[in-house]
Amino acid sequence: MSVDPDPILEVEGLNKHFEVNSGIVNDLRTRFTGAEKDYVHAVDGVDFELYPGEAMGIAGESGCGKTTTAMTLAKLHQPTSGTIRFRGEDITDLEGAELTKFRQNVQMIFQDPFESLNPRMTVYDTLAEPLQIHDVPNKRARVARALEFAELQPAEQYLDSYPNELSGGERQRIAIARAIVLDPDFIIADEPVSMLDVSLRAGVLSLLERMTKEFGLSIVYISHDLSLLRHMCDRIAIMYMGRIVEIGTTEQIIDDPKHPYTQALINAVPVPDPTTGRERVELEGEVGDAVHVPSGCRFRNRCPEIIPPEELSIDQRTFRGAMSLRARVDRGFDAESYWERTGGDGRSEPEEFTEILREEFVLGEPSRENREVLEEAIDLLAEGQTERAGDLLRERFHSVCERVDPVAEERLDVADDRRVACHLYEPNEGERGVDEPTAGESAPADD
Amino acid sequence: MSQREGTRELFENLEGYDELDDVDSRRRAIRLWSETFSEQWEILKEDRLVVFGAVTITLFSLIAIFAPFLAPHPPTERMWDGGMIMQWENPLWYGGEGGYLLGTTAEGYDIFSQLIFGSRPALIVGLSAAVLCAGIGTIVALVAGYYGGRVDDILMRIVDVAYGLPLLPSVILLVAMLGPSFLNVILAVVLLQWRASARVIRSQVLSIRERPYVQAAKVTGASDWRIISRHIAPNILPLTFLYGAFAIATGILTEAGVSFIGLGDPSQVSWGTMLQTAHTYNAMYHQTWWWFIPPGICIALVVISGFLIGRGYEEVTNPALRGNN
Ligand code: SF4
Repeated sequence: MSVDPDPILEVEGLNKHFEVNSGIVNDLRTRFTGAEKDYVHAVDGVDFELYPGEAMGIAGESGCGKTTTAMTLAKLHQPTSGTIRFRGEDITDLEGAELTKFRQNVQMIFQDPFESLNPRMTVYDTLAEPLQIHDVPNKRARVARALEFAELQPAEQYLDSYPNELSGGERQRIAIARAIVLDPDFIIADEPVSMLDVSLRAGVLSLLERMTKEFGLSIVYISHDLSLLRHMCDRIAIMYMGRIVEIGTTEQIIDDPKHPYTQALINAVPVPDPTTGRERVELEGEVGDAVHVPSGCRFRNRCPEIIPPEELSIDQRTFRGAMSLRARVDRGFDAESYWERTGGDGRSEPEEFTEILREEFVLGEPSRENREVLEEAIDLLAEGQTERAGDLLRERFHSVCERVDPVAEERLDVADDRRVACHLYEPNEGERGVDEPTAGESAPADD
Repeated sequence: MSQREGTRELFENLEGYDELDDVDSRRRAIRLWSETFSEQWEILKEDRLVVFGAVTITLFSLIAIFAPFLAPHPPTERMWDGGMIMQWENPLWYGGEGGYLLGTTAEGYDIFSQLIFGSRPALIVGLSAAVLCAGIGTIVALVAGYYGGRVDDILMRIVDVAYGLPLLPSVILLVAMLGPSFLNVILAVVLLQWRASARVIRSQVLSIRERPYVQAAKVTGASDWRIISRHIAPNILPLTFLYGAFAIATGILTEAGVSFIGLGDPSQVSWGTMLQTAHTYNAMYHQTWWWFIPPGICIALVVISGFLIGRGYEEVTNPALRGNN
């Protein structure tokens, strides 16, 4: 990997939260009503380091915070908290001349080649702009070399073109040429080929590969596409809801994923969604909302391996069914929609109502006691006693995954220097996660 | 640092000829804008109403420029002396004597000459209001949209207040306070009209600010000024022109309205003051329609032309509207 043992980039506890509904009117309203402001936890505690000459991939579904991470690394967003060190120097709060100096060393390649070039600037102006800003001499010759490196030859022919006269592939090559024209040490590439025609991708990817190899650049690739990252990266980090849940070498992550989310991502056959051009991972449950972050493990609502309490003997499917019923009830049970599904008039069909709920939530092969608890809770729901149903479910079905936030760290029973944030694996030196009460409910005293 | 060799090699042995850059970039900018405009003109000239508007405005501009040569008489020279007030000369094609194309006013001024000279204040107010409204609106929009936050909040609340004021009554009030002069009419129109362009262009700035090419410029270290002037402003300029075209029309209409109620510049003959004197002398009652119909038609023609051009240009700047007719 690298001769130089000092990381070029160190990220520690990086947070980026966005206020929901900002502005004077909302400020006044929240001040007046004393309501809490809501924040989107786009990036929420990210740690990693990048070594010189290394290519690292950050993967995850859309909305997991990977693009915000990229923008924060490029200093396009000011982090809410945490530190970023570049070559050992803290760059989190750089301003003015020092920030400009940092910018000379860090560049970014954007996803959409049709949007990342100013339509009113020629190729030459676009490429010469960084050189003007940093007062680098021999602009024309440098621009020509950068274009030729990006396989746009003869360079002279492109200098006077406007973006609308070029194809998507040519534009992305120009964006790459712009990124290298200043001779940076570190590049962030945000989905560099996802908007390109499939036939053009290989060419642009091999250009990126040549760029990192020949220039000895350190690069962070952001992508939802693991098969792409597998080819381009030395290491991969998997993000979920603003956190890195697993980070390790490419072989470790691809061939032997440990975190249940990573496993799901790798096993999922990507289903192309023609309407958005994105690919969604097929996982049960919804991606949580990043405003009200769940307590404990963020993946727990979708996790196929959520851990049942030790004293409870239960199979995984039954436990998941019970937990998702509990989650429904905790969020304020929407009984009406189930009553409507009975097809009866109002609440005339309680039999039908309980039947529907049982089918949906009593899964697997529950033991007699577990079945009894579940059915009793469903009966209580049919009687409209949501509170009591909730109490009953909470008492029996709970999990360490909802109480303790798993730390991304090396685990005793996982080999090598990979970090996994999951309770399934043995923590390094005692549990370092924070014990927190689950939201809106009293945590059971045991466990 | 062996790994850095590659880059060094690529940018080694460079020979610069930077001096050419400035000339070249100017040449490129001219080429881009001339291409843009000729492209837009290609679309615009397909629209007959736009052509009509453009021809009308050009015609009136020529008339305004060459007014002294076109008008048979100075506009404020009495055609006959002898204190006759409630009396006028009919047009020559209506049994009038003295060969006045549109007759004279009750004060003895040649109506045709007044009509020709009246185009000057109309167009001056229209054009200066257009330039100033679009210019101020654009600057406010750029500052508010780009910097956002408090600056944006404050500027947009001012726009909201400006929106709360009814145009004509406020102009009347302002002109009455500042005194009836030509400049004050322009000032009043501008004070009240920059709001529309400011609001719409700001929302455009907000969206351009988030475009990847602006982000890319930031990553390379571009200053705020560079981003505003080179990346954002050129991309909203078509909208500025659009609001300019609409402001011509409102400016002229407002000038006519203010003059009609007697708050126009007393030393200037405009279509609005012509209507006002016609009204004062009960031209309607005396059925001397050649006195008040022609200035009315002129106002309508110029105002409609401004709107037609604006509407046509709107279709060019907003392709979603194109192809409706
Ligand atoms: S901590 Fe629990 S819920 Fe989270 S991934 Fe691991 S097993 Fe699943």
